[in-house]
Amino acid sequence: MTRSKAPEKTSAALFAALGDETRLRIVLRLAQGQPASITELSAGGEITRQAVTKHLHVLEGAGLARGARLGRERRWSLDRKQLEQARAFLEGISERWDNALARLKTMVEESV
Amino acid sequence: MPSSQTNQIERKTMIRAPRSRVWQAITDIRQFCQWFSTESAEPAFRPGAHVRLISTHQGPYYKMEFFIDIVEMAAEHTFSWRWHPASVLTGEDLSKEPMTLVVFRLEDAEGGTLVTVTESGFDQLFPSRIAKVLGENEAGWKYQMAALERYFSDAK
Repeated sequence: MTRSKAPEKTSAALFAALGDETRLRIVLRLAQGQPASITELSAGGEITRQAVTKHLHVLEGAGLARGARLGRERRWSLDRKQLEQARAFLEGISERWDNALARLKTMVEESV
Repeated sequence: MPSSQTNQIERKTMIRAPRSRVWQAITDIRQFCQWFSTESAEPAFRPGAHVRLISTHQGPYYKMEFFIDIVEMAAEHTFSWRWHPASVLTGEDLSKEPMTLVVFRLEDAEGGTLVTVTESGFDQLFPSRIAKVLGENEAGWKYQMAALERYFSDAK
């Protein structure tokens, strides 16, 4: 059960899971808010049900998506906590770069 | 694993100075140390060098050491290195951990030089490290992250 995994166990899987166009598209679709079934996620015919299922399991393993049984079908939704964690990590690095570049700019422009 | 936007950070700044001047500020080790808030005993950067730097940033990381491995120096155009991002934060042995790649690109722009920094390879980092860096920095994080920015705006 992926939900019980410690956050540090899933963070690397998280970045790997997002590094795929199809999965990113599924994440975008789930981000619209309403839980979706595999049928709905494969609608449009671009991806097969099997492929969608496989990608959803990768996303579930990374703690990005979770499925809940509703009648005969599982409906999938986004787990935003993990996304926020990924965002926070990269924001921290970004902020350090912004600060460093600001110091570079000041140093160079003051010396011209 | 195909690299994607989510594994890369890109930041830009416009500097009102010629490209040659900006290049010097980034690749002359003395000048680099000044704005990067570090000190080093090395005389110069050169491709292939494993450079030891000491943080001069006031705060908990003051005087802590870290290393950058210079990859490329293409005059007035590209300067790159590999490192363990924010390694001063953890102080653990990172020698076996994958590194990220930092690339500076310089371009002529109206009235000066456009500097673009990209850092990539975050999907390769050890999970424990990500969690640790996260835990140490949560309070200070407020900037928009380029990689997921598009995702969040598209999702609205």
